Amino acid sequence: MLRSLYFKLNFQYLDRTAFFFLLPSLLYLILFFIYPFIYGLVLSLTPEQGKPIYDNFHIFLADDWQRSTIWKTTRLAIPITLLVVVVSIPLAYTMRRGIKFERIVTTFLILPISLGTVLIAEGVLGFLGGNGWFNQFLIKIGLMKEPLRLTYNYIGVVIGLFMKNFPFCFLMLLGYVSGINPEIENSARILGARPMQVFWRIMLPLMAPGITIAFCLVFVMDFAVFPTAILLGQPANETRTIAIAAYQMAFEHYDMPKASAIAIIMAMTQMIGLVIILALRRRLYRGTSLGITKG
Amino acid sequence: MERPTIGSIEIQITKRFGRKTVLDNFTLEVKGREFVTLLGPSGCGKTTALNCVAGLVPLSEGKILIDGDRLDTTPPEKRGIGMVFQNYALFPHMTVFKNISFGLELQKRPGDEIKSRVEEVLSLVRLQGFEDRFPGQLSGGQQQRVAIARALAPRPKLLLLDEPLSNLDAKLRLDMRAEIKNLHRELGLTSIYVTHDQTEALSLSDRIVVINEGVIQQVGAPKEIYESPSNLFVADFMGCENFFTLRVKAIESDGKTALLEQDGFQLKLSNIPQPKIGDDITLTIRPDDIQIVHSAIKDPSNTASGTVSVVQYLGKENDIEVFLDNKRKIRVKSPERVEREDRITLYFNPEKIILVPKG
Repeated sequence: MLRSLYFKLNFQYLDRTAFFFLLPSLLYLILFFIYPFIYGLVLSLTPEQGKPIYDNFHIFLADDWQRSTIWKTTRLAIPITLLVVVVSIPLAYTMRRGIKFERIVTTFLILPISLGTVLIAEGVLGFLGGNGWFNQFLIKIGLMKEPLRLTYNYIGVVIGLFMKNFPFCFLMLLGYVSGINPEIENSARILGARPMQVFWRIMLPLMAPGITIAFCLVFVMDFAVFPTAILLGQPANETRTIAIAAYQMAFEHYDMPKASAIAIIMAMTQMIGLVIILALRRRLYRGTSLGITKG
Repeated sequence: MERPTIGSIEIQITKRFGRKTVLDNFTLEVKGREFVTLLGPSGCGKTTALNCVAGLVPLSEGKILIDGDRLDTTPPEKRGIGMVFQNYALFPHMTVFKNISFGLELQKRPGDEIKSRVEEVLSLVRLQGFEDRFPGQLSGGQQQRVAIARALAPRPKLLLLDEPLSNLDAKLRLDMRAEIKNLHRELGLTSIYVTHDQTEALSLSDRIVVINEGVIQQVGAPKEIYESPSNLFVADFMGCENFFTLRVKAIESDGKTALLEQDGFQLKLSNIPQPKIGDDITLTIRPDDIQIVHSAIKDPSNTASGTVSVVQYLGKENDIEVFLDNKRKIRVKSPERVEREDRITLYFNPEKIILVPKG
């Protein structure tokens, strides 16, 4: 028994041993990801009696109102992701070697993560809503006659999602950029590069892999927007995202096959987005993957 | 090859980090074409001094002048200095060519000049043909050579080297040391070198500056530092491991030869300037300057007997720890074969004994 176990743990049996140790995580993956995914896929390909196999997809894509959710979601996800990443980059870059009161600043920046979507939405409504402090202030000082419409529309979702996803992106990039050996930027300075040249020619290319990953993750989170789109947006029209469409199909019309088809379409759209992002990054900075980013 | 040079650089720095003074009125003048080494243990402030000259760290007080012009108020990118770092600090996303041409491109040099200069510095460090490699594809020694080439390409008037050999393995370190020495002889580039390794400092430098806790201990030529250290710290750092403080007991009629004694350990020395009876004098001798004698002791006053406690075999010699009969511990390096627990007699050659000035 022991002897056979010894042989099993030997190098030539490494594959089998590796499989043995991977089993728990494989099991988890199969039970909670692959099985539901295949179940959903099969469900989505189960049309009503006598209809072609792709019928559930066809119904969604042929309906202008339903199909428009893809565009509405993309229209939210891409600008918000860009905004989050573009705001995070200079902030993380400035804080890469630490700043004064860093702990307090970081705490405030990451607080929204721990608050949860609903509390953020409530806060945004209270502050930026039609009767919120911000509009009251604008009207009081005479800058506005009517309150600005900042909630229950596209802008509301942008603000809510930005607040929710910015800390995540910022922290990720901060970790990445402060891991880059400071001697690299020092040597660029001494070779004659001004601070902005150091940023554009050295540090940004070195940050590219981190930025890409952050962009992908934020994009996926933004694309799946659901509570924020309902609480801060106009879920009946302007911000009726694809997740809302799937939810309505599943729990208002109780049509699981069609809801599954919507979910699959959503996943596909996300995948296409990710492929485009990764392809763009490869075109922008080709050499980075060859070097060692961290000193 | 025509290279810019400087007349001299005058450094006078005080640097504090918070309440801690890292450099306390650090004053040094380096002349053109000179190779000066800042030598000291880690945390002594030598790298901070170098970073101040490079402009990476602002001074708390003081100034740095190159040929009389203020350098410390110039941003690092306008100082015209080259620097080599301990971790090479190559740009990992650029090829060797791009790494080296980076500084030249910032100077807006024409393309063919950039090309010829890159070739020139690559041949200086014997790395022709590596232009298209990325740093990640090079060995540590090759990376450090690229770093040196990159620092040389813009023809700096001053070269700073921050422990450039510390990350290399022992054999490569020796090769690179010789190469740096060669480059300096060829180019005559004014250089400031930082290291904690005394052999590096001794072999490369025109002058050595020994630093401890932000204060200069001694400045001098390698021979001077090695043979007459100015205080206990320098002596200890330069490899004198055996220290004794003995009291002058008697002076012979010539007025020069003094008999020193402490706890039954006696030495007779004639190189003490103006000895006075009752003076305490600190002496040191390097482990490899102590001889093991077997019989026929010529000068019994400069010998001591003891028991070998530890023997480390080092190849061409043994590193021996001896407990003298007066409980003193002595390190000896000798090719003699001895074993643990052996009784041996040590001879302290008066000519090899170094007087350590107080302070």
